[in-house]
Amino acid sequence: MQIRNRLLALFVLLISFAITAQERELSVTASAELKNRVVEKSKNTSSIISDFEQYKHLDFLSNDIKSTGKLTYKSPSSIKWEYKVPFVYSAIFKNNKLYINDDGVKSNINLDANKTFRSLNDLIIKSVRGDMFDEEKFDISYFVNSEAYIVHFKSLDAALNKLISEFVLTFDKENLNVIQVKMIESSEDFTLLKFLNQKINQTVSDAVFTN
Amino acid sequence: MRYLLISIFILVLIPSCSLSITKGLLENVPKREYIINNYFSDEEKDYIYKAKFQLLKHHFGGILIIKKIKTNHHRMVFTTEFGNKLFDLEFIEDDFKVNYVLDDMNKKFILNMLEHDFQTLIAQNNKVEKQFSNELEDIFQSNRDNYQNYYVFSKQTNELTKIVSASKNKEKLIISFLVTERGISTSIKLSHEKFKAIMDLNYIGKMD
Repeated sequence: MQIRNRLLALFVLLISFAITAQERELSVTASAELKNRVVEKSKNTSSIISDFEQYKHLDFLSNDIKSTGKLTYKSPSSIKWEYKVPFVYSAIFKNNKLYINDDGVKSNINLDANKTFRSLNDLIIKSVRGDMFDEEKFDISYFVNSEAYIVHFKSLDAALNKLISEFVLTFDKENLNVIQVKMIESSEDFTLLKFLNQKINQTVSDAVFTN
Repeated sequence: MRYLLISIFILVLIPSCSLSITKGLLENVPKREYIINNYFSDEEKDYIYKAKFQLLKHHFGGILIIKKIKTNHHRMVFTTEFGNKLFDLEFIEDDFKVNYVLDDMNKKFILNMLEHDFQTLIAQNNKVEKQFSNELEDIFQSNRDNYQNYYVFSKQTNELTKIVSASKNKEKLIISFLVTERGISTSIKLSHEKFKAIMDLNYIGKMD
């Protein structure tokens, strides 16, 4: 029984090694090429409509907290998050203002008043587009596996670091769409966003962004 | 002189009798030594609530997460709907630990209020000092720090329906457990008398 357990442990170890071994760091040249392609794609993205799944991971919980909804982005900087399950809530970021509809209760927040919150929201918009290659703000490293490119953005900004210490963006290998955004806190708790059924560059009416 | 003494007597007496929660009720000999709030008592469960907070005309929302770590030890995190943490608190025995709080909220009176409100909400075992009754309810008084907390139990269902936290002469905080399903309070309202602040909590976690 003991031998069987040890063999099983070895097997699990080998499998996990094999899985991590699949992800490898890109060379400097390949990293630069990927960055250029993503920036170019981002420039040509005028809108994104996508379903999303959000997972909030807190170390002490038994399960991650899952919520789902719909995201609408329109260039240059209008974005709407509509949560549908398990609560109804929408947030629109437009012209440095945040418009909230909390299951019928409407309010708005001027983001000019809070620099950190505003820069975090800017970053979230950039992360959805994939365009956050700012080497003054982030220590950036590039990886690839069989299905996707994975880019780590470690924050170099002390104020941002208190909220999010690292963004990890996962890009579809074929079309370079951002398919996952992971925001890791310094405590290592994180929020993971998965994007599904993405539609790029469809016509989006401005009326979508009215509260 | 006589009127002065009567006035002083009334002034001293009135505040101690003016809590509406026990007004006109007869005090009984306590039937139990401790009363138990079991709404956050299952270590296997993640208690997740959608929170709506109203202060005067301002509205805020978020997700309130409560987890019992072990006996007399709870962790409580409040995040925005997007998952950004606003505070992360721990209640261990009678100690209060702030693991994280957003800079804007890191003020002593806010932390004191969070400690008192949430300690009152989750404290599981509470020593009974006095007991009162009316036709429909049993009301148990338990003291914590400088507050008298009154735990109201429905005689019909034996469920905890309300906690009223009061200073010597004034009710400060009312926590109403409005709906209970399978041992979980799925709708809770916290109202702060002084600040006219209300927090509504609606359960969005798993039921089983």
